[in-house]
Amino acid sequence: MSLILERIDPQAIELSHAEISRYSRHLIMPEVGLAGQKRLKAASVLLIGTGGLGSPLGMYLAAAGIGKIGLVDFDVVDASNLQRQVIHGTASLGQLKVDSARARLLDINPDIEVATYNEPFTSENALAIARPYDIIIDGTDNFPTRYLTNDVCVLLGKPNIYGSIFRFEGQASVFYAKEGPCYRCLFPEPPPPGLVPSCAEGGVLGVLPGTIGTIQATEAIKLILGIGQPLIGRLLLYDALNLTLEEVKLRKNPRCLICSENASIKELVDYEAFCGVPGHDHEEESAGAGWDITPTELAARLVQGNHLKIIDVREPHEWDISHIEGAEMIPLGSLAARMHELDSAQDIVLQCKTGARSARALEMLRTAGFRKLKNLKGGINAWAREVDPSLPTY
Amino acid sequence: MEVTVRLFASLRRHRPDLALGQPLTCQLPERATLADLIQAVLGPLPDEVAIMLVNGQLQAGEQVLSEGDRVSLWPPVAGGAL
Repeated sequence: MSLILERIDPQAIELSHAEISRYSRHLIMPEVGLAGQKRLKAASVLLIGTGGLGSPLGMYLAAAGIGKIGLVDFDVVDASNLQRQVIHGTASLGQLKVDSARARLLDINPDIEVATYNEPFTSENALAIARPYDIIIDGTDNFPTRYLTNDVCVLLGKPNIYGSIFRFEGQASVFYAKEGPCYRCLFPEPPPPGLVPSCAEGGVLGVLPGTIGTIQATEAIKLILGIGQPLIGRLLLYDALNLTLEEVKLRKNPRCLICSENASIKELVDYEAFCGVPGHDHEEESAGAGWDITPTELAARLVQGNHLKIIDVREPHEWDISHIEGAEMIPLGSLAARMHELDSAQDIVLQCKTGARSARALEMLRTAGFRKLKNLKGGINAWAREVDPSLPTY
Repeated sequence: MEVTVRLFASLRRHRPDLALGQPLTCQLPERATLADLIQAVLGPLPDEVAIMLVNGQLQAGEQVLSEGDRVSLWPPVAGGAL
């Protein structure tokens, strides 16, 4: 019997007549039945993130009758979430995501318990939050929280149901160090800071988290019921463009720093330092002290007639959404090749969507010897909010 | 020898010349390795390639390729909430 099954004790669980009606389509399958439905009710699952992946996860787990669902998030619902985060609706714009999600889950199924943690998942609180739960599900959006979630699960001996997405592709696995490899076995080192773009930067097909999130929910339910073959030791690689699913066998890394016999990591570490990036996507990036210019400062300098060049490092399809009058577009990927077009004696303001790519562009130009540089803090979205409301934000 | 390679997720942005979702056919000298192929396709970007599959099996850069091999290259992917 799988270790996860031993934790869940359905002995004292009863189902009401209303619950028996609700779960009828489960109960008539012998693979679930009354015993399985009681196991689902006895189980508890923690969702890290109530966004793209957390939406289908939460909704299907609630509908399936998971007895206790914990939700960790510290964000509020934004209009740009609604294209894929189907747990939230237009009426919940501006609400805390955990509150909006909790209301939706209890509307789907009032017989379950939903606990909320409106805080970032950090090395300080993670063990205490995760300890009471049987299964942890990773639906986060950044590398530090993914390593943190992994290490919490290894240290507490819990399965980590992993899913991640980018644009048209997704990955899913169950990392359960007691029975197979962990996330660090597959990815011993994080990518260099800033190398891999986030969904906020690169975009994501709205339906994609639905596909990957429901795979994660399926794995959670299978683990609890003890049926089928779990994704332990296997990585699914999903390509929506070609609609292919590649399966890769994973092995435990005998030198894994946290789950091997000679593991050196015995407690949680500083994951932001480990990955070299913040533990959450910052909407607004800074280029560092002295290198930023705010939208209002830039507007004032333009009004004074200062001769400065605004270089928009976004892509042409983003330029079509909005651009600053007088700016010139040099996409970040072409900047190295087109640097010679720029005059290092002239004041240059670099700008992108939110300030992250332009901060990298600034670093490239600074390394090349440019000094008269500024990064538009918050990018064109901040410009649209603070200076030119005729422009849309995206 | 001829091998096919597919780039996934953020790796695609390094080859905007490739038709979306289509594999690339590469001519390589005999005994070329996976690392040689990555160099030929992506240039010096090994840090961004986290998962290398040859015919569906995880392999390392030293792996020697054979005629007709199907290679898939993935970066690490972290998105999910935002």
